[in-house]
Amino acid sequence: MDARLRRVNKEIADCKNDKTSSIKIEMIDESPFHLKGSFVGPEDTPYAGGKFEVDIVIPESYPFQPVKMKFLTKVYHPNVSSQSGAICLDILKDAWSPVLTLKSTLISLQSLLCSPEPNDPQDAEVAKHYMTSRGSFEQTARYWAQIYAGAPGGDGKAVKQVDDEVAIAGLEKAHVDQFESLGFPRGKVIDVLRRLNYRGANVAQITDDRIVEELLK
Amino acid sequence: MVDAISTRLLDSVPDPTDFPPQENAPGLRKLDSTFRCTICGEVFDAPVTTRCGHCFCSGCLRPALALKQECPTCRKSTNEMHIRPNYVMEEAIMCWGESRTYILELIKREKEAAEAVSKAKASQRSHKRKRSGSTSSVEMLDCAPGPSSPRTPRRRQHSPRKHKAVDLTTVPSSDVDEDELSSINLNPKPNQIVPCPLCSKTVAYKDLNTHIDRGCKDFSKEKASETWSKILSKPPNKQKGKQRCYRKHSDSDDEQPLPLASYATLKDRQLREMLGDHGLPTQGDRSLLEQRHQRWVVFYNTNLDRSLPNRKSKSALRQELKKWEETHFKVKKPVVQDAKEHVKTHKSEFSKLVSIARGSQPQITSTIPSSVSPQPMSPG
Repeated sequence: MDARLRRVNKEIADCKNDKTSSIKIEMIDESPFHLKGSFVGPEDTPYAGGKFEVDIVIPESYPFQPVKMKFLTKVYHPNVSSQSGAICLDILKDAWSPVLTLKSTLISLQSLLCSPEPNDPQDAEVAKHYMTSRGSFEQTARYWAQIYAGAPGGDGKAVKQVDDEVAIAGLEKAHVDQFESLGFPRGKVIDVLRRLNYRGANVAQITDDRIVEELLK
Repeated sequence: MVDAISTRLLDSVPDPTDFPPQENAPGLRKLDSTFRCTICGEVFDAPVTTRCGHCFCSGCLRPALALKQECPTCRKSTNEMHIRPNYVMEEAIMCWGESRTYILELIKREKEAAEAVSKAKASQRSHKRKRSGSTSSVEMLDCAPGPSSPRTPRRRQHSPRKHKAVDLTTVPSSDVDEDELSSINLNPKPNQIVPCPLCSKTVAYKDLNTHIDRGCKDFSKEKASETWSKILSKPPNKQKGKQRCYRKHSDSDDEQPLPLASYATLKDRQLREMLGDHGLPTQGDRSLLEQRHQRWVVFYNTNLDRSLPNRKSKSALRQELKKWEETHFKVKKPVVQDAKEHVKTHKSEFSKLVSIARGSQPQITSTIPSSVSPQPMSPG
């Protein structure tokens, strides 16, 4: 058995035997080099209580090259792509060290959720949202955790489909309604307002003309 | 099914969890994990130390430093020149390798015994509660040579040869066995071999005083003449002495670590020569040659980090390299150089495949030879 397989086996066993941490690793298919990890969102964050799944691919030259990880669960976070789940974390790139393990890397991801780094973003729009209005950002992140990661609280089922879209984009319903009433399609309004980061203090800075201009493009 | 595969794989890999947890067997799990390299997770093979004091397998640390010159554990900058072999660790893990199975066997036996006892008790008096198995492993540990055993016997285990000599000079401590005490003869015969009370070397009793008078430095006659003939026949070689100070712990004279090659500046011919110099195969494409040489340097230098008696022969290293190549490159199929030639030589196979495909028989897969690539099939 080659060294890589032996090490991965040990790591999976290590996670199975550790009952104190919430980190879990399971195989997706029969290959031990394509795994699915999961952990619980950290307490006192908008992600608390959610179950976050991570796709893990172990490269040929592991452990000398970093593991490839991306979120399978949609996460609203400045360092995670809201579209693809790609993660911007130094230890997954140039700060990787061969002594890091799947478990320690997943714990790092868990702590990344506690401490976003908006100055080195993966998702620029989310990072802008985080910078302009923390409260609104956390509300949206919590909402995402509730609908995608199964976090407790929030009566998501009672909310109508249309309001879901607005909440997912992290926008105010009143703002969307305002521009929709001008005759623009709702989807486009949400798209433009999200791109322009029409939230918090930014609302006062962006003129209505600017938005209409964007909507007409 | 997936679970069955995973459990089968997991069972075959020994790791610290083979031992009972900390509360049942204090220190054993941790001890086992200290003897393991944090890069590969295996018990150290040719352990080496960085200048920041962290220990790894030589064969793990060298490739890691080739990619990034920092300690994998603490990220302090370091390079291959700072690597030093750790012979004490090497010896410790060899002993651990033996005692590990022994301890595990003891644990298993103890557990079985406890289970048998509890079963017997349960059958005897069914109203009495069953004993839990966990307490029994603690009892067992007291008889195992674990970290919980007192300090003095461990010291004795460490240097059994010197033990008697120490007892002669010092006040017999509590750990001296009765029979050992009785064996010490206070009036030895002149020709009896006794250990020197100062240096613990064994000498004849009649020579003991002369031995001590000379400051414990005398040799036996043959030894002395041997040493002289050595000195006379081999005048000290200045160059060799200089080289030796790089690796002064090792007793070997001619074995030097191989330098890392900068492959970008090497021509194919030079690379083949370098491989040929070490008796390695020289066929294969450029990247294979480079990887082969790179891996050879790791194997070679790792071997030098083993203590002299544990070193492998060059041919064993070559075998290891061959095995490594087989496991890493077996998936790659040979590349077809000349497509026309390839089609010509394999024409009969192709036409056979085509006829099978047209007939759309279900057993297609079993008849396709694995070496045939599917592309040339399309024109037919």
